[in-house]
Amino acid sequence: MKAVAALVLAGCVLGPATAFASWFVDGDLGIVHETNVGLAQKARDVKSDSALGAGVSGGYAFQLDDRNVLSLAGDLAGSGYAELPGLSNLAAGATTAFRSKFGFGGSAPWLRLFASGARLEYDNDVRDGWRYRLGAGGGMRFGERWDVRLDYVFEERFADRRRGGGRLPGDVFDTTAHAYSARVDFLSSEALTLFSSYTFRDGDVVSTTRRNAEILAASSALTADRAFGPDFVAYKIDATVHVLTFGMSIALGSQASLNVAYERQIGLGRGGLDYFNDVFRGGVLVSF
Amino acid sequence: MIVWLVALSLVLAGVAEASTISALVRDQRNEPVADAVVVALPRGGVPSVPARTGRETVDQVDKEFIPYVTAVLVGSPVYFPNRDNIRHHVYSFSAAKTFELPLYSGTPAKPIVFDRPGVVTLGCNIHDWMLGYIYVAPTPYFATTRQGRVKLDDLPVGTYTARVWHPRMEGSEEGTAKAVTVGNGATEVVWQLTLKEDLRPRRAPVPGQRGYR
Repeated sequence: MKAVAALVLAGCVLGPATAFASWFVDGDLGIVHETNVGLAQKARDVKSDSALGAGVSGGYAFQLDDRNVLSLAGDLAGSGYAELPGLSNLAAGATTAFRSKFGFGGSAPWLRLFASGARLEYDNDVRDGWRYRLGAGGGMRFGERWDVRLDYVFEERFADRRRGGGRLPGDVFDTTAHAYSARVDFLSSEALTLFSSYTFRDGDVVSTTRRNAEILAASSALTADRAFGPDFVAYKIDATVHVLTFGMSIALGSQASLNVAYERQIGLGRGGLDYFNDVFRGGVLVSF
Repeated sequence: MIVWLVALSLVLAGVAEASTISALVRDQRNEPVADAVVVALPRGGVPSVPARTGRETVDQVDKEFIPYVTAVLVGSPVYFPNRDNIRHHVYSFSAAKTFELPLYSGTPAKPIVFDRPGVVTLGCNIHDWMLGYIYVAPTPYFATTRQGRVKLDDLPVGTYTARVWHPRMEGSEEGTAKAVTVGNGATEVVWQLTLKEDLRPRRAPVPGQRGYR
């Protein structure tokens, strides 16, 4: 994290003084509704909720040459939950990315590598901690309408507190996961882009339920989760998750867009701990 | 005195024989079309004229080519000033002119000379949505529409083949040819084009594609 912060600080200092540096700012404001926020398996434990979220990311991009760009950015994002305020959170961090293009024009394939780190602060502090991501992706444009990209992201989270419960350790929110995704964008018209993606995620999942023997047997850590209520427990389970996303993006001029998306998460946990979560998103993006 | 009278009569004769094509270009919804190039080719052959002496420029402003369409006479030099405070990398692979201005800021010292008629598509290899066109005209009688209208002035009286071109038009420029006989005064020519959508790489943000683009 310190290394990333140092890079961003260097970018903020060097960027304005460097002729080939270009500043950029991305912002978003939106709502999200999840039908199973706690990723619970049993119907009696499933809780849905909606959140209002906003984020801003900005920094400098350095054009190293005609094909390669290095960017350094600071990130700030927050979400406020309606029914489960303990999940409301603020994330502050930094991202550095390297983008390379193999050829000329909009159809040339590209490759992007990134590293990010963020401090996570929740209203209910059991989830507080650090999140790190490393990723690689590539893609290209086919014809005038189709964009295809493949991505890999490794994510690791470290929680501040590790209060256990009985025989199991309490490092529930110390999680590791690998995610592989494929995405297709279709430019339906000048203003409308349709997109769909599939993500395969393998790793730790935190599932919050009332106490039950099945999940206890299959979990590797647990801790009380007051964000969901006094009798809820967060369990760390090993799961593969399939995520299907469908969305549309309407351009509002050249630097903003209105976006809606639906996401179906199918979690297949070890020991038959399966769950489903439907996520609906809507919001506005701006980019300068 | 006689010399002055002869000169005046020659000038008046010239004015009398110089006329105008007034062009109107509309799309399939009857909306006026901007950035359409109207050209008039004399039936008797294109006169040999030097390139216009004005300084032709295609600016890069806020990561866009300005103007979107520039029409020049064949043989004209064109400058590409970068008005942004970042670098651009301008290129074209068009048959009418292949060139590259590697990553630069400011104004390159030497212009690019467009020595073959045709359409030159411009791009920037840093910002894929940047798209511009240079129409290299084989005749000195051309102009680009603003709000659908344009006038070709000072045409010698005679018969012309008038055509129109637009980057997003369906069909070919040749398919728009009209025989136009120009006499004294203005002759109006109207075209209705079917325009395709602008499907260049999108500049507006899309979810999941954040960061510098």
